[in-house]
Amino acid sequence: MFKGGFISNLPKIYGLYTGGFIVFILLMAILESAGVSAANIGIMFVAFTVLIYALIGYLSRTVQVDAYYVAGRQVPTVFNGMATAADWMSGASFVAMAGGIYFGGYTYMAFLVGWTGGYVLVSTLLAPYLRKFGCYTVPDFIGTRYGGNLPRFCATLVLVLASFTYVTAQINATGTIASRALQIPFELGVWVGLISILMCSMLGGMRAVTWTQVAQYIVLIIAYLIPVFWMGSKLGNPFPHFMLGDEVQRLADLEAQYGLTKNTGAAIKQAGVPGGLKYISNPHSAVPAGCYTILNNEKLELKAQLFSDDGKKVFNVVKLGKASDPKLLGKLAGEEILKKSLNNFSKKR
Amino acid sequence: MIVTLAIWFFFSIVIFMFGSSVNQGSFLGYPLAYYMSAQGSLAAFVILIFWFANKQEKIDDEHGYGGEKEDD
Repeated sequence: MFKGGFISNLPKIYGLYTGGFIVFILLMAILESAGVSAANIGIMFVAFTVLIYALIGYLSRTVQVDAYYVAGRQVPTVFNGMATAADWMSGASFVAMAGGIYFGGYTYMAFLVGWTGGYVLVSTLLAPYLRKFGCYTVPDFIGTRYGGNLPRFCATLVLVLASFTYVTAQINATGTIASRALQIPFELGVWVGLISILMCSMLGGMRAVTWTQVAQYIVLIIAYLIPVFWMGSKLGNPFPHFMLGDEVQRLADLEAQYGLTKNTGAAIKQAGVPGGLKYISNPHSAVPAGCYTILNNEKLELKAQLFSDDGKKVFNVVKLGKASDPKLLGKLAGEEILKKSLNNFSKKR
Repeated sequence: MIVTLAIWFFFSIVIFMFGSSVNQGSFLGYPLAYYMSAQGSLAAFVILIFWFANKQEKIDDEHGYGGEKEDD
């Protein structure tokens, strides 16, 4: 069945794997209707995937440097893209996105832009140079480019610090998922997740990780898209991506009605974000950002706007004072705002 | 490279700096800035990466850094 090398058989192998995965899902569905509990099905799902990943990790074990770091430079482009895409759809992307939008409102969608934009920066600013220098890692490149161990050490430090932040979120997600699916305490879930990651990556390095991620990509794509299309077609339209524009407005109205709106345009404007980069470098910490404009060297105009729950502007506070004492001015303005809003509040009652 | 970075800057920062005014417009019924952060900018980034990678591949080949090509 598999003539020729591993690489030339990739589509066949992963096709088989996809088929196997679908059969597995169907089997789970049959088991569920036969009365197996959701907890057991969860355990089977996790066990199956971890087993597959560990198997891939074991099969692609290697001791060659080239294979360990760059998967032997023989991953076909499409499969490399699949692995990278699996990277994108990580725990941080789907667990943190849901939670972030829930707690922080739509402003959290900045995560999407930053996360995806980062790939542009990596491909533009780092990838071509790594390739030219024939290096394996970023510190490797920095060390080669600038010479010596100090730059290399600094690069490693930066990398470890940055990864640490990211991996914290990632491990958190892993632990949560493991504890939910396996019904074990969170701490134990973290260990289970870590051990399965170790099994996948330690023996085979990048080679194992790449092939595991291709396998993950297939699982993720199925798991992401099928519910969306399914729910979409239940609602009468299988492509919700293009058709739900009006729903955004309706949701916004509903959120406003129930007081769930977070970081409204008005609130952001008050904080001075749009078109107001000058407020970001605000030196007067006592004055709320976005509340003042410098008229000239002498005078400072303080402006504060209050918004009621429905986003209507209630009143303006305008004060003029000397720029030399912005702290006092900020304090006065703050008191004024407080007084007025208290008045406003008691009037409402 | 400068072009790539400029496009990146435009889609990641400039649009959202004027988010509330961009939101006045709409695309497929979505508020425009909302659409851009959910799908638009990401699509732009993906296209950008494809374009850049192709271009870089050509440059690398020209200067002999392209790595060996498979002949199949």
